[in-house]
Amino acid sequence: MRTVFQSYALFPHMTVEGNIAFPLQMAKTPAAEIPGKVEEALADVRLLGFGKRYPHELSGGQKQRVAIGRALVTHPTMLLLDEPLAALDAKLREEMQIELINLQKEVGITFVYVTHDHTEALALSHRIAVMNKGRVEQVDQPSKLYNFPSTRFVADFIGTCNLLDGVVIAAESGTVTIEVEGLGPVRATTMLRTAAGARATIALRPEKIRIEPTAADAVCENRFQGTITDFLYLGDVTVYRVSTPGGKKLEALLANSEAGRTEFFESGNTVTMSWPADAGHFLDS
Amino acid sequence: MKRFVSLLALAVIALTANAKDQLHLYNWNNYIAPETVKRFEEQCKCEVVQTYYSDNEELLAKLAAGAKGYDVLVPTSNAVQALIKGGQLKPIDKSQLPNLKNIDPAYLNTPFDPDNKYSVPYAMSLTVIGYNDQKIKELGLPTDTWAVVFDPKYVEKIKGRVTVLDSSSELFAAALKHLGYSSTDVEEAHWKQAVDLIKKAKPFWAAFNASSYIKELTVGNIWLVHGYSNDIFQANLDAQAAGRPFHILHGLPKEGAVLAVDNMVIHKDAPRPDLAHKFMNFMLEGRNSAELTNLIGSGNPNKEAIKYIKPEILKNLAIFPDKAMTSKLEQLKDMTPAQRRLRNRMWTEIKAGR
Amino acid sequence: MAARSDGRLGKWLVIGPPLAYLLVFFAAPALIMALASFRTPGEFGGLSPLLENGKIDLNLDSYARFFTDSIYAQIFLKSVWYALLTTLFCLLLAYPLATLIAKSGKRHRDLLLLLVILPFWSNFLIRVYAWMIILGPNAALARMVNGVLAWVGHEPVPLLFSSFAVLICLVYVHLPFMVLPLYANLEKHDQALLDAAQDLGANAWQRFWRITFPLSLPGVYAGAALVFIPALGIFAIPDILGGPEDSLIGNVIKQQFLETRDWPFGSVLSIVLTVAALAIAGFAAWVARGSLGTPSSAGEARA
Repeated sequence: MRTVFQSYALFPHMTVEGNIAFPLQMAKTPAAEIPGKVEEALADVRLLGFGKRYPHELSGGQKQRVAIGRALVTHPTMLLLDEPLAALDAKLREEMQIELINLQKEVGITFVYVTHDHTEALALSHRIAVMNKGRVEQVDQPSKLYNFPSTRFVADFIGTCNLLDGVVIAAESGTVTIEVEGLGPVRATTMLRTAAGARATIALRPEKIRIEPTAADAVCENRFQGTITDFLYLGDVTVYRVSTPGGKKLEALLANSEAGRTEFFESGNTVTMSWPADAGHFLDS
Repeated sequence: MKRFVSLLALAVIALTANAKDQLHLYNWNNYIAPETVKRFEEQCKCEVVQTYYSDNEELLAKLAAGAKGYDVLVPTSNAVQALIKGGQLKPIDKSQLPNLKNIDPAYLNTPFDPDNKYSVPYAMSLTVIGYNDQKIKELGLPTDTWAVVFDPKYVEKIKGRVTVLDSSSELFAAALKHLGYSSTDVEEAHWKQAVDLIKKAKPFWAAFNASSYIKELTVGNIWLVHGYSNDIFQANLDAQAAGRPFHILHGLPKEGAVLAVDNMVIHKDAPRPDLAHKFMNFMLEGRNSAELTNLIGSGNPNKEAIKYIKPEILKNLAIFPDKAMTSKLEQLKDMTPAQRRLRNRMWTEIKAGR
Repeated sequence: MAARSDGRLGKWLVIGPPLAYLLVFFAAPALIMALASFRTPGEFGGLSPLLENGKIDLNLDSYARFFTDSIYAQIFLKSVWYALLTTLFCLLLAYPLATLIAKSGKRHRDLLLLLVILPFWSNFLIRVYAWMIILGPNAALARMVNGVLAWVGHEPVPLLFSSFAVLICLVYVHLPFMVLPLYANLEKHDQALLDAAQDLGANAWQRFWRITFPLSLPGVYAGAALVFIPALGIFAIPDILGGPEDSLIGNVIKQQFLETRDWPFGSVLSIVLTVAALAIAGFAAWVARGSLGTPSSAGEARA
């Protein structure tokens, strides 16, 4: 296993070639083979022609690629990347993410990518391990992790999530009803077995909530009144904070691209929130 | 600007205050008794400001570089010669020195300063052998010949326990004496013989040393030195004070030795020639002159001083040599630049260990 | 207009004093020395008059003397050798010490630095004389060494008045000049580089030799220059602690100005010494640039 450090930790007194040759030399690779392997690694990270440069003559992205090239040149079975993009600005980070995905496909080894940025984790991974206080909470594919978190921590950590805590009041063949304080009975579907009286949580993603100015069609099982308290206009989406008469606060996310949307809500507007039973994800406590 | 002027005024006042009734004496370290200084200060109602040098070369270099402000200097005869040649001295007014009559005529009117136009004798020393009596007696080595320093058959027995002066003129003088020449010989061939002699003896010497051999003798690290008689006297005083089981004695080489007479002279730019003359006359008084001899064991050319000198010093032949020894003493002469260059070339070769 | 002349005045006020200092205390003496090297020694000492019988007396005699007599070159080489050994031993001693200081916590670090510079608080000559006592034949060190030598059947050796004494004191006196620049450099090193090297398979020695040491080279060169140059010209230590063989170029120069009263030749030797020191410092700087690629790599280590 090799590590790519957050600061890249390139050796400033060595050229790009020198940096990449370093692990080969440490592994006592015959000197004659080193230039070829270095060249290969340079090609892998698309830095052909940069071999004679020193780290301080490279851009942030190029340094990153040298660090990866240096880590990959000995063909490790695994690569640990320790928050490698943390120092980059948002645009460059996105580019590097795509590059990392492609690179990983090319070399075909496991990249273990440590990050605190959940969107980065979702974007880059095949599988994500969410760790809390040194304990793995869940290991899953990104979409599974997002849609079916197995614990409150995972639900909360990956993206934003409304966590509706309450007591099960009815449970029948795949549908449960939970009495949520400050909100009322909420229905959700689940494969889990549960019984009335158990404490449980429904994890509800903001984008699953519909908001309408009036009581709308009764397609959705869950329907609640509320008042907009705050909103954040983010261009592509708008995030609304809605407070129910019972004092429960929910967050809802509306895509601004939604066809026909002409109306935006303001703080103080009374709205109806609704979502289908299968929108919430039932969590056993 | 105002402030600058007042500063300047202050500086001028300081300077004039400085120039007022002060005698600037540029002397060897520890070469005048403190009580003598005190007495002179009382008598002349002035202050004696002393600065020190550790060898004539230092004095000459400093004056050649243009140092000023000294009244009286105490150089050795050959340095007096150099200072006269360099035009650094002011002629003395003998009418102001009635005590000059106290000096033994043997030390007056020397070739270094004919008719004493510039200098009067102050004190003297001999360059002789100093030795640890215990160790040298044990080894049965002679102490009355330079052979003990230069001849491998003797000096090998005290290998690493001998130092010689770190001075080319003194060491060449001793070597030339051992070879049977005059210590002021300037014959290049004779110098070459001296170089060979020194080079053969050098492996047995611990060091060329001009400063710390007194201490090394006192503590018993070094058993035999080529050194100055007053330094050897000092080493013995120190050894006795420290309760050492041995004495440091003088050995007088029968081949002869270098006599160094230090003289009082007045610098050409002396700020106070009047005080300088007063001081010189004062130091020519027997009692004042004797105090120095009693303090450091220097030789004394002053006849009037004899009666004040401690008897044990008087009978030391290395301090007060008898007639026979006196006839074998020679004073070093100043050399020409060419001779100095040649001497230094040889000295460098000796020191480089070739 | 006024602002502009103010700016110029300000500039001169800033540059002026150091410039004047350099002119007065470096350039002028160097020029005087250079001029003296072409003159003739005076009868009494000093220099003979520059203008004699209407002719300017400048000559190459002293240079000719230096370059035709190999003994001076020999002494020079010997002095360079001593200065090199001093630099090497200082480096070997200072490196672990500087590393220790750089790695210790803030409080210990200040104390250790203080201990390094503490010797400067006492007079140089006193410190040299102290070695006379330490190395004296009756002192514990000499007894111990000679005890061991006697045990293996070797005759006793004197420690004082020897090349050993000169060298040990040269190292002792110059050690802080090596420790301080080394410490200043090592303290800036980025631990992540060593972690990376370890991850890439380097063992402790390889981490030192391939990473720490090359990155510390600017500090090594600065320390080496600070040690080598003064060690090359020193005369007091061989005078006081040296044996009959330990005369160095500094001693020969001193002799020219004192005993021999040959200022021109002394100036020639001094100029050669200065040129040699500059050449060696320049060579070191050149090697430093070559081996590091860039002058800014020490700063980079921090990034």
